[in-house]
Amino acid sequence: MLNAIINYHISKRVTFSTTLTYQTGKPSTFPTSYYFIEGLPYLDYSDRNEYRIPDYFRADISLTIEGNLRKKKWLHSSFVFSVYNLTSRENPYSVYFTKEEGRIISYQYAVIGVPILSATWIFKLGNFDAD
Amino acid sequence: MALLMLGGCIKEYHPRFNSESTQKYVVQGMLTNIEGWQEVNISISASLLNPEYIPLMDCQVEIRDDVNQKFTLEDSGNGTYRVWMSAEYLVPGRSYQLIVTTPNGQVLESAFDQMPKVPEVENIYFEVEDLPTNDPDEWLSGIQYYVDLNAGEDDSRFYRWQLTETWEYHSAYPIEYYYDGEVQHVFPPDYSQFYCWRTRVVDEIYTLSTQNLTENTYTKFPLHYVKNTTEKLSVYYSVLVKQIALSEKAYGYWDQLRINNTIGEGLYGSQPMVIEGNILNKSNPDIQVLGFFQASAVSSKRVFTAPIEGLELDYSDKCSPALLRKGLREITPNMYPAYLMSSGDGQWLPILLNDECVLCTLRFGVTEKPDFWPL
Repeated sequence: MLNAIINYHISKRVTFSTTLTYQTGKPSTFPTSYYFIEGLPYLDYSDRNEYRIPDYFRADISLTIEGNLRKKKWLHSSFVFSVYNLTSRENPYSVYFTKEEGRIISYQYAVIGVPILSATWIFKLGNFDAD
Repeated sequence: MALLMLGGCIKEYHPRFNSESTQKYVVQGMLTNIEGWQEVNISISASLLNPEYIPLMDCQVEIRDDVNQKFTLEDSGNGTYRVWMSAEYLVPGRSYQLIVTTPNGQVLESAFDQMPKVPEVENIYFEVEDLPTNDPDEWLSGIQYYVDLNAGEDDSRFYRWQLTETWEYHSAYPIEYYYDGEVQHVFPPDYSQFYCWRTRVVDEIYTLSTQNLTENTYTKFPLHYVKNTTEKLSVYYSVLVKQIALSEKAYGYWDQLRINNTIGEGLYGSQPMVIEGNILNKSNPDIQVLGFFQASAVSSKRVFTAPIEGLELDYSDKCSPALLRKGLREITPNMYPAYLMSSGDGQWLPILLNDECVLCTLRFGVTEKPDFWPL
């Protein structure tokens, strides 16, 4: 598994961030072929965990715009605009097999397959430097 | 959450299999203690998208026993190789081995498998039972078959039962009237497509080991269940039970096959396993050979079951008579011959019978009565 986080301060109040995540796919046991014993069909399976589901890769970006930088203020806010899964990659959560018209068809299921846009308004007590 | 659900997707996935995984030799043979043709079947495994039987022809096949006798099998077509063996060569306690040479020169050799002894089939009987379904308010009705095993200390401790069921069923009506431009009267009514019999091998695997039991007996081992939602129990039903005594290795193979075919789904299901047979590819030991060559002793018993009092059947015979509101004009030439219902007193009624009402062969049976059928 590899994670990379890059932050770039465009100005005092504006920050651009990106996160890159990569993970090799989960090991899995797949049916590989059909064969017949005494006229009846059976499935042959691979060795345990011989195969992997496709790798996981995700890129996220965000833009943070801070409120004014005045020293004396009792409430500071910032806006965060972000895109989750920027590349729209359909990272498979699982791979499963099902029987259709006598054939075994495999499918991959991705929980999120589209970019997710979000906008967040964050408040904190104090000024920009306050924890 | 709604966004997440909209963003999820399912699409076809095409794993890249090794060719060695998808095309394996399949060798299946059972030598029995019963004098007659002994058969071995040789094929190639098929891809998941094209699940067809692929026979392997032109192999050289030989059976050897542990007293150095050899028997060459002849190719009888469709991947089946056979040899006639008389009883003197089929001896419980003797071990047998299979050797196959494929057309491209690969040698597949089985381990020796010892033929055990088998007792006669003790008792086969049924009980009317209800089974639960996924809906807690609904139950399945039918009959559950059982077998008793009563083996001696000399007999095998490992068994498999193979079931073949045959049942008689009838069409709803004989052929008495039909329309092909004119109403034709068949007298006497034609019953040639009224009585049918259908035979089917039960595809479940039944295995038992008495290795850990103090006695080599077992009472009330469950076999198959016949639901009341089929036509099987409507006229007369029969099941042929073959009791197959196995070596321990053969039992391990069939039990693994049984487990692989009954794996549960979801979080609590177990992973399927690679099933090890007893056949080695001597030319290429890294490539697995599917199947098993076994030397088994077999005894069999057939039981018949008449319709059961108190068990209500709830099945469809696929017969759907339809009223011809506009009379015979509703029948078009592409429907000929269109079967019509009889009033029972020499008249026809404007009621169209679909083919399933009069042709029992459309439900996959045959009109020839089996030799063993008592009625």
